Amino acid sequence: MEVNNVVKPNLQIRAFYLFFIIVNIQTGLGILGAPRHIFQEAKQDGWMSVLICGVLMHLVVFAMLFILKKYESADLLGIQVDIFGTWIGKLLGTLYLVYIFATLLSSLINYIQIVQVFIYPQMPSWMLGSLLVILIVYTVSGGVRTAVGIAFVFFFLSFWLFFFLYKTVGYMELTSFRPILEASPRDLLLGSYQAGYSFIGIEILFFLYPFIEDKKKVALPAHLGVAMTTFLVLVVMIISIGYFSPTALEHMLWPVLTLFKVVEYPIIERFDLIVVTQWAMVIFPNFILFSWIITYGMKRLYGFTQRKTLLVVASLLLIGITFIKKQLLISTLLGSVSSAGFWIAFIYPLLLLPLVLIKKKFFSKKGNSE
Amino acid sequence: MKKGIFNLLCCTLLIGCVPTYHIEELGVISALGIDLVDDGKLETTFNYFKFDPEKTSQSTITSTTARTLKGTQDRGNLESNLKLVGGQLRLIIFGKEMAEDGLIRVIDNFSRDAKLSDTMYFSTTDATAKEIITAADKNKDLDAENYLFELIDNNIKREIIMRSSFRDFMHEFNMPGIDPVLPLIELEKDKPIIKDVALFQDDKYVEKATQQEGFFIKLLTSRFKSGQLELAIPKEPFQDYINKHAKTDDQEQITVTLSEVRSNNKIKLVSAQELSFKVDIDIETRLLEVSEKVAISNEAIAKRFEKEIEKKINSKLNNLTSKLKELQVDPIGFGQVYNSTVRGKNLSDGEWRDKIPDIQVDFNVTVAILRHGLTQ
Repeated sequence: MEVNNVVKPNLQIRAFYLFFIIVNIQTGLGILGAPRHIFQEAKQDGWMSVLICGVLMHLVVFAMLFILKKYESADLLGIQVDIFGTWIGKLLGTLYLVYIFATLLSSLINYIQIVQVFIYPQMPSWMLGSLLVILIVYTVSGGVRTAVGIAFVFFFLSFWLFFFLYKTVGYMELTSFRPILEASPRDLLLGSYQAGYSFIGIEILFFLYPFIEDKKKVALPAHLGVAMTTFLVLVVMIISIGYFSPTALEHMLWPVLTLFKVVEYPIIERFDLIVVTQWAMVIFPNFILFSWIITYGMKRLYGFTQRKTLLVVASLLLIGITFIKKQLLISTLLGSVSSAGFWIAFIYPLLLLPLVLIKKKFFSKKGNSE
Repeated sequence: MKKGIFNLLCCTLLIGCVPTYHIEELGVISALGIDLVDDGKLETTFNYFKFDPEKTSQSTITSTTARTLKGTQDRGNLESNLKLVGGQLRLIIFGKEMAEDGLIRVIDNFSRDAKLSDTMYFSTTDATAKEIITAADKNKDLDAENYLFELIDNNIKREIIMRSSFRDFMHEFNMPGIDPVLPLIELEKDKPIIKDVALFQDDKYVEKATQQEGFFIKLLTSRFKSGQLELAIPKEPFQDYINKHAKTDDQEQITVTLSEVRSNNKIKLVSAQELSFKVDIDIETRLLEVSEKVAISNEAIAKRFEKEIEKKINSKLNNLTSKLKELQVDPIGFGQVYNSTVRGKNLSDGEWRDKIPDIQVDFNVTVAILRHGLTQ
């Protein structure tokens, strides 16, 4: 397996799309439940946890880009093979893809569950599941440029939802934020750890890097994307602290959807239903990009055709959707994915960085396949 | 191309699997009354309507009894040829016994069911909820399915009573150190009207307060944008300015009506040991009506009006707080202020309730009369 992966120019994308890709892949379902999880740890100081998490996230992006820049045009799978050797590298790569699959499955199940709770309680999961999986197969078959295009277009088609939160601002109470800094540093960090789930998806950088046409300009859109996500999570967090009472927020599954329940207009009295429906557009780029990572990763690791992997992934997704139905089981799945995500997405790049540096320094002659 | 057609076909066919609701077959519940009857069962009165372009009055009433709320809805379905749905539920009335027993056993359902709106209104009554809904339905002058909702909605929008949506109730119920307030619907000559407000201890109805006390509770908890207040102030300070020709019966008092009241409040905990609070209230208002002929011709008399109104509001607020202390209810949220000022573990509702009788509140009211209409 080649460490560097030189992509044909007709498949390349411009760096500035990374901004939309990163914002889109990060603001999926994590943000819907984020205020609750953060609040459970850091209470009214949760907004600080979000800020801390955002700063740490920039550090992670910095580390990722640092690693990637040491190579000419490599992705994570290639780098792992370069550092750990073919066998361990491939094993790690496979594990990484399994993790990506778990993330994909958990968010798909979670979204279906939300639709069932809010709109169609009687609808069987496999049905909405098949509709989404068909769409995923259809879009991913179009290749990376289609996936990126979807992320770009859906960003604009769904971003407007955010502005409708203005109605909830009037309900906020300032007393809810006081006393400031009551949380201990430990609580704040635990809150940041919980906030981390909203930032999962940054891994896409590791896989999309070879496809970027102007690699020198990667840093700006990547950091802006993370900053944008931090901003969105921060706003949602601040509104939730002010809007909900502590007991309510601690027990609410999707505080952000509940926020939209007070948005009401004479012609659209139940705005929350629109939000749940529209959230398909927020979450769909996640599905697409994660599926693409899996198919492309399998091609890189084992040379499987993307079409074959795609069909296998689709069938596995359908099986997962049909059998994982209980709300509590889903919560457990989400919990384990988010804690795995913390180690895999955020800590792993920081561990990988010194290894790459050592490798480059001492084995520079044979290390890179130049 | 073939793939595209296949996908399109799949999507179209799968969409057909989603359950459909025909609007003609739905009984849309607009108001719900919940009463507690013998041995802890709930009696629910549904006011629902059917979309039918040919009829003018389409609302129907059904009452059923069961142990849970959804149970009563299932039974309601048995008594109707329509499928009862709650997505348009606008108003819930709790009967007196239900409210006194505590609402906790039914509100769980409201917060669990995503179909229900967060903006529907809660209210309570001194009679049974069934009587209120039936009265509204029987009274031919009233448009039954809308009347009760509009009664509450308009008064909330005109800032006469406090906002009492489901969301607000839940917020005050869940928040330690603040208790909810709901409008109280009463029957007068077979017509449901709002007269008072109901004070709650958490989810239990304890006592009613007058509408004017309700105004002062709102003054202390939120901002007025355009409220109305009628006050009686002593006549004595204005003796020199009163036009003697226009005589009224009342020898001691002048009644003034303030409108477009804009207010701002600030509650501060002065001492956590002594539980003393300081409340600053700023009011800007327009003097709309004075029961005596008093010419507001110079700064001095306007000042005097402001002073007297301030004094009056101050004493009213003091009366209100002593009443609340006696009842051990805290709709104003002094406990919330306490919790947000004092570091450490927050007091729970119960812990705070024991402290309520000991609180001391010092009011500082400033009134500014901005305008006094067309005449002096």
